[in-house]
Amino acid sequence: MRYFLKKTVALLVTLLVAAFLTFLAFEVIPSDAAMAKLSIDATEEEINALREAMGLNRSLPVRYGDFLLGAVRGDFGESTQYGLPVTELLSKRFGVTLGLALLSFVLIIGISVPFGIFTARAKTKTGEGLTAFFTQTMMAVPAFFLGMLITLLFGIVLRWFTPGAYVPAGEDFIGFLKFMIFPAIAVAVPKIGMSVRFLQSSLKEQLHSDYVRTARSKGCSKSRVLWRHVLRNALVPVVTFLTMVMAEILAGSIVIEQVFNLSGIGRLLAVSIASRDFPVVRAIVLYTTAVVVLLNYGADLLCRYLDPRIKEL
Amino acid sequence: MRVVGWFKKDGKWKVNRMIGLFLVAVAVAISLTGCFFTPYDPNAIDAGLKNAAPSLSHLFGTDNFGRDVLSRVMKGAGTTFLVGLSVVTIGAVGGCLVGAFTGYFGGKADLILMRVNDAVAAIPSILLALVFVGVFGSGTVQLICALGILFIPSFARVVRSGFVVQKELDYVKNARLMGAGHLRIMFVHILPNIKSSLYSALAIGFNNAVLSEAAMSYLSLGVQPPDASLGRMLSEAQPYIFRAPWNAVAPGLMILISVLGVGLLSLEGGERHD
Amino acid sequence: MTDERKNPENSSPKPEEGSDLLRVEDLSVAFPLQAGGEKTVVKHVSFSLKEGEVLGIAGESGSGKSMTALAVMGLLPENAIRRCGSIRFDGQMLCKDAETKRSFKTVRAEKQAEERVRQELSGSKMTMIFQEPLTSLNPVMTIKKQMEEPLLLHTKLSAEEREAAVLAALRKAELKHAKRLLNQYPHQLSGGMRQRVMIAMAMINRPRLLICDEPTTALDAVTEREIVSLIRRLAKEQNTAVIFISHDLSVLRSLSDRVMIMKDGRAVEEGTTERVFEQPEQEYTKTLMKAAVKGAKESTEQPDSAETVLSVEKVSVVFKRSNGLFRVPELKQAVSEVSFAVKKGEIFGIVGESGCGKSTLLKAVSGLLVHYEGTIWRKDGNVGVQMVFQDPYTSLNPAKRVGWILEEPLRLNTVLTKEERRRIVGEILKETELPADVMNRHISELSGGQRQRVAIAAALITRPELVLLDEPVSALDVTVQAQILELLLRLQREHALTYVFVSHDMAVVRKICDRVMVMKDGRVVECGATEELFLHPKESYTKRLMG
Repeated sequence: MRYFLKKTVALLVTLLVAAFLTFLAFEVIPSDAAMAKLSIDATEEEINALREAMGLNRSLPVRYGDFLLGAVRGDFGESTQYGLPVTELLSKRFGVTLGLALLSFVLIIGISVPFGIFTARAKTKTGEGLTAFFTQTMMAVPAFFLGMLITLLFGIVLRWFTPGAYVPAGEDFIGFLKFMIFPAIAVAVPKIGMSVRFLQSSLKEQLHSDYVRTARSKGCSKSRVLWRHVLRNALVPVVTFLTMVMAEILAGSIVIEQVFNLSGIGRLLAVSIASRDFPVVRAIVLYTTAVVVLLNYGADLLCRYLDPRIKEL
Repeated sequence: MRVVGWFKKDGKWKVNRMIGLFLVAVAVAISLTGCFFTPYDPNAIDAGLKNAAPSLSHLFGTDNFGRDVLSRVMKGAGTTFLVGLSVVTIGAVGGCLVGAFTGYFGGKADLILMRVNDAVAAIPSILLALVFVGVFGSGTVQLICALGILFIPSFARVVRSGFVVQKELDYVKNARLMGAGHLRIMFVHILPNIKSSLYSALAIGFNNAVLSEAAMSYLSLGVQPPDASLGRMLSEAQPYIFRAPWNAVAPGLMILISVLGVGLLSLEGGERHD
Repeated sequence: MTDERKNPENSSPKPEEGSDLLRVEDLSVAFPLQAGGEKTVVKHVSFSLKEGEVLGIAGESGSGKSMTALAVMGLLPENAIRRCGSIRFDGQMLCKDAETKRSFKTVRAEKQAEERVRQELSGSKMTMIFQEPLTSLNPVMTIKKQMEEPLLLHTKLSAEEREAAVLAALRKAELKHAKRLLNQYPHQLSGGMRQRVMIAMAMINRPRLLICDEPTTALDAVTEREIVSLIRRLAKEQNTAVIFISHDLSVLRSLSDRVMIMKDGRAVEEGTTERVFEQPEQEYTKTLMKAAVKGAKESTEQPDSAETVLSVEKVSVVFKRSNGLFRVPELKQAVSEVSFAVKKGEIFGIVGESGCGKSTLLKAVSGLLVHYEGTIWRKDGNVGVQMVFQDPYTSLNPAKRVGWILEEPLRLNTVLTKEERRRIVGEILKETELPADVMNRHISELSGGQRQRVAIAAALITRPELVLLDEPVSALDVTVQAQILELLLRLQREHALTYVFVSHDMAVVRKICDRVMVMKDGRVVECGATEELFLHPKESYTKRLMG
């Protein structure tokens, strides 16, 4: 209980700090939102008037307070580029990114866990070398290059999907899967390489520990040692690792959405940065950070449950 | 004998390491040559030769502006590697300093700095790089600064965890009894002992930097036109992926072989001794 | 599995009188080498064991004793290559000669068959306990879950019966609060308790063979004695045969019926304990017996008027343990009000169990620890105190060559030129009986004894008066131990050095120290001349410590 409280307090503090940093980052920009909204030849008076209207000339703490309040209520102001409320822009695109992230995560877990376990048990040097080669290759392919190759092969040559024809999951789930599986593969492949390697090495490390010897001396079969003893011990680092993978999937989707022409959060972010649409950038960064921090929080609580050695800190 | 020992273990050849060395050698050779000589001017536009297929005169064809893809890859690889090396240098030097001091001295400063470090490390570096570029504008120098600073935490973490273990060992106490100062202990006594983890961090860092550069330039937020970089070329190739796939394949393969080469070279043996 | 398994007490059929429970013939174990080829660590070892008999296997590190035991249990590391004539347990063949050529398929079938037999036997008829009880227990499983696993695998007991059996086994292993233990995790127990749990778990199915691989090496002297007597008692009660592996000859002498001495993978000598200890036949056994440190120090005349080199007055050390940023630190009194003085040319011993504060006290004396109360006065001020640590592998920089390590104190404290430094290093190497070519080697390339010699050389190279020795021989093999102690005594005589010698090993302390101070829980229990203290201890704790 104390651990839970402590972690929750830490979570809130981290969120506040993250919000402050995001807020501050866009305060030090040479050109502020007012200047961005007006054309280059706007007069000093016009800029000042707009600043007044947008509340940009108030003191920093006041504006931070305002920003926080807005963030809590889901109000991030208006996009300078689209002229729409940021929240509205985001909510439309949220589903796409979530769908992509979840599908990739399922792919990563579904493929790398069995492979990780399988390769950890492999004994031959050749097998080890091959696994290392393939995982390194998967990690070396830039996700967007892979995305382009997939588009070329499955979209244009084989015509298994129509590039750019995204189907929302709510309308036609099978259609959604048929399309989304391709960007998901592009996101997942490098991460699968990483995960297999990580799983393999952490399982191997556990398989060489003393308690495995003890379990064998009790008469456990090799598979019982693996399933009852080793996996349970390897779970904590794996959970932490998967949290990191989840965060990286979110990052990876920024580029992949661009490749597959998906209008998700990531694509919106890239476009907004290019057009200096800061209210949108700020909101996306804050939301993404919050998601990552929350994921870590969840992982911490889970690890505490999984490993009795994690004491109350 | 030493050289052979590096490629042989338990009497078996380390094929992966050999492949890695070969790939890295190829990548370095291509990019080094590109610094001094390219078959064509990489930025020279030939309107009559748009998206020409590979031929004897243009080994990897030409792009949408009629520029020679091979020349651009040779030049672009140099840019990409330069970004990668600069980023790793900034990250490693900064990370070593931060990690060494926090790991060695510990205390509250260490706790606070590591919390910040964890927070930064938890957020994907490309997202932060995007924010950085959003704030300071896009361009090669900004990209190097952004990625370099963002790579500091990961190096700091590696170095710190090495220092936390090493500083408790008796040889450090011994050095203090001999009268060695803190700085000498940190950088002369302890640092050589975390060489191996530092090397693999350098390799991983370089690969991440190359991939991040490619991704950022792909999003048009890194290296700016007309300069060639591998990510930039991929970005420009995308609209013509069906008509002129060589535009994408050449720079993509170049990234692949260099990153794979460094990755394979850095593979630790994984074998245990008894 | 048959129903009689349910009641393990009268399960196994009595073997005919005199027949062997375990017979190992011509066992060899090898490992592949980095440069190709292989290294044989166990060479043609044969031995046998009768029902209820205790066999002690002694040998120094690298003698192959642990590998022999692991081979019997079938727990060798995966890259190990085993070649054996045969291992027979209770009439069953555990492994066959691997030399004869057979097809790949046959070998695989045989391996599977062996695996089946082993799973059947391990945990029911033969079990093993290991050196490090913390890592040998599964850290994320409760004691109950781990202890009932052998029952789950080898008997048909119900859940309630299993719990009762676990409780009974824990109580037999003299563990208090057995009920509470059930739901605890290994990290919540002390080292001694963990090893008791290991023993209880190993004995829960009343095995006929128990293999103990240095089970007390990680434990304190007092705990060690308790654990050894527990193993002896349980084995006697259940008529279990025991293979007890140790580097400590005195433990083996008190415990075993027969002893086997191993060296470099070979069984050098085997016989009844009495015969081997009283009339050793082989040269190596004799050296081993002689090397075992025993007896008192050959007294050297101590001049009464000698000046004081070190004086410690009412020194207390309090540790602050802070776990978080905003947490009130916990306080732990590690040393409280300790006073003593050391005279020039004296060897002053500090003894006590681990955690008694002796190492902390030494740190304060050396100057490594500055947060203490009281006064510490050293004749040579702040510079010049040198220390030799327990484990030379960690006390010498593994990334540097020996020459660099030995030059470093000179580089830091003198203005000598490189040639002069080299010359001094050469001298000290001669003095510590090291070959000159170790200069260009790394620590990892040296033997344990050579490493500790380098550590001593590094401590003495600046010619200090006072040298602090923190368990300098505890990590070494017996024969090496004797040589290092001899070296330390010789250097002390030649240079009129003063030693503060910290150790938990009573025999070593008695052999080398002029005066001894006994510590417990940070306090001084007793302090006096060594022989006086050993022959007539005043405090009961001192008596217990001396055994």
